[in-house]
Amino acid sequence: MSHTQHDASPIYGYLAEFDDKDALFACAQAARARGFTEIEAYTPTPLHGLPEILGYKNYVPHLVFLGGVAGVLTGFGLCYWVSVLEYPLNIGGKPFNSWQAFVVPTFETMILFASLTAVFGMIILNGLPQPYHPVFNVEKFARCSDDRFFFVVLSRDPKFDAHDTRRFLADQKALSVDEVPH
Amino acid sequence: MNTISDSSRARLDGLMKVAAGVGLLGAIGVGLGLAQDVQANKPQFLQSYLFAYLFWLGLSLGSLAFGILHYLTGGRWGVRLERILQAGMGTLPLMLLLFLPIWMNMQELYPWSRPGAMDSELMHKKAFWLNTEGWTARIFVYFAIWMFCAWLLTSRGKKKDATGDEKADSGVRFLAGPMIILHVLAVTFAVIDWAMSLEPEWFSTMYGVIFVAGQGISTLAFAVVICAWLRKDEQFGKLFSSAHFHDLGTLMFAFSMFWTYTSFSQYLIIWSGNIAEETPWYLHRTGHGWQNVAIALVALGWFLPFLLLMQRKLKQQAHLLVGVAVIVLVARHFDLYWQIGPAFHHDGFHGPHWMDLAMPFAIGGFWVALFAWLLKARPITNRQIAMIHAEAQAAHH
Repeated sequence: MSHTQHDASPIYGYLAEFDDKDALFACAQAARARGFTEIEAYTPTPLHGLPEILGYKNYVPHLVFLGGVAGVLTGFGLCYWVSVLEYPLNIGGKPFNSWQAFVVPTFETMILFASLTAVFGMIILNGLPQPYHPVFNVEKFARCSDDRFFFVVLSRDPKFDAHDTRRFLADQKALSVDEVPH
Repeated sequence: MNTISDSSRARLDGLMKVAAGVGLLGAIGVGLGLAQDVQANKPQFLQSYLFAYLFWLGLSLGSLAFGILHYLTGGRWGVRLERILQAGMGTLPLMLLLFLPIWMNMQELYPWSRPGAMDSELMHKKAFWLNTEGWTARIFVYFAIWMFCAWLLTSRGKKKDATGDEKADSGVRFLAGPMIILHVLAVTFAVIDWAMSLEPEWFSTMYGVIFVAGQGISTLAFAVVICAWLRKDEQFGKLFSSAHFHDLGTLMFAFSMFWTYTSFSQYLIIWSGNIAEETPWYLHRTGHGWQNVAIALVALGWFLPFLLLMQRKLKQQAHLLVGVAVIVLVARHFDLYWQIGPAFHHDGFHGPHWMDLAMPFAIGGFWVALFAWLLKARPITNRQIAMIHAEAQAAHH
């Protein structure tokens, strides 16, 4: 991994504090323009458009689609296996492989698999449960669930530089810039 | 004050003229086709006419349904679509006029209206509903309901927009609930009269709602096309933002599912029951070539929209959503063709007649021309302009 040398860094990164979402947006945009890639933002409420600026890629929809496809195959496969292979019954003289009757269970398993994939995919991709995170080491971060917006540049970012990055964040109208220990 | 640019009015004016030209050419074309041999071509002419008429009537009625629905649900999509829906429902008087050929040739189209058709015991029991006097009277009842609702929505909406008085349409809000029920009932009974009774022995209680869903999705698809076309104007570009297309795409997705659900439910129930009164309708539609139309319908009406409209990024891009909207509009034609066509062709499907292809343009040309003329009178409302400003301000914050 190319990050190995940065992982050896004594700190996790720098934490900038804002009291206004527009300042956070501006900071995130400036950081992206500067070429930072390992950046994070923490906000009291979801902000539309912020994940896109941070370059965050959401893979949950793709997983949900695959979950849905798996549900279709499972549901139809189950119906087919029971009705055609394992225990064929003559119901009203209809063919054993009566796909019309299989559609409803197939649809329901599709929904079931897709929604379970959505819930667990979201939890796993979010890295949850996560009892410890380095940003908790900064005391004022507690206000993130109240009225403060935070922005972090990670030390493993290839463009990270202890002096310049701190200066850069201070220039972004941040209320404060703190070192985040591991 | 309406600040819509002159270029938009000019473009709507152009649309009106082109559409009227298409309608006129189409009408002359099918008219000449009919005139070649009236006796021989009349049945095909009427079948194509009914098919195309029901498609365009569906857009008028779908516009009315969404217009009423917006009073019940709220939402910005309705404010943005206000004038498009009003122009759509404004075509109802034209559709009443265009019903004349169907009414005049009732016996040609509807077997139950022919002498002696009601003699069997089963048909005798249906005579209280399926009789020429009642059927004729109900045309006016349905149109009276629809045109009254459309007039109420349009006139109160206009008054509210002109005066800025929020209470100007409080009566409509109060009536919206009863109106949507009345509307759906009127559509249900109308399609029983005009489409289901083509095969009078057969019946389905699901029939009306399939049409309601089909009218809904085709209206949304038409609105997507119009919005995408209008947004070349700067002000419309702001009104019909990518969020608006996302809303329309999501609504289309829901209505596509709704249509699929109702269409498949009717099939599943009749297939499960497997009784002689009900199955012939599907046997005629899943054999002798008609199964190919059915497969195309499943692919265009359900599979493709389902797969494409799942994608958020696609829904936010107008030019991509227009592609889906075109698929949906084509699928709606397949749906109506598959519902109506086999009633006249129990022997099988031998490809569409050229009148089936020309008639939607002949009727649609006049429909779109009237639509464009109505929209041109007031392309944008004060409420919409206020919304554009509010959204622009919110974006700056």
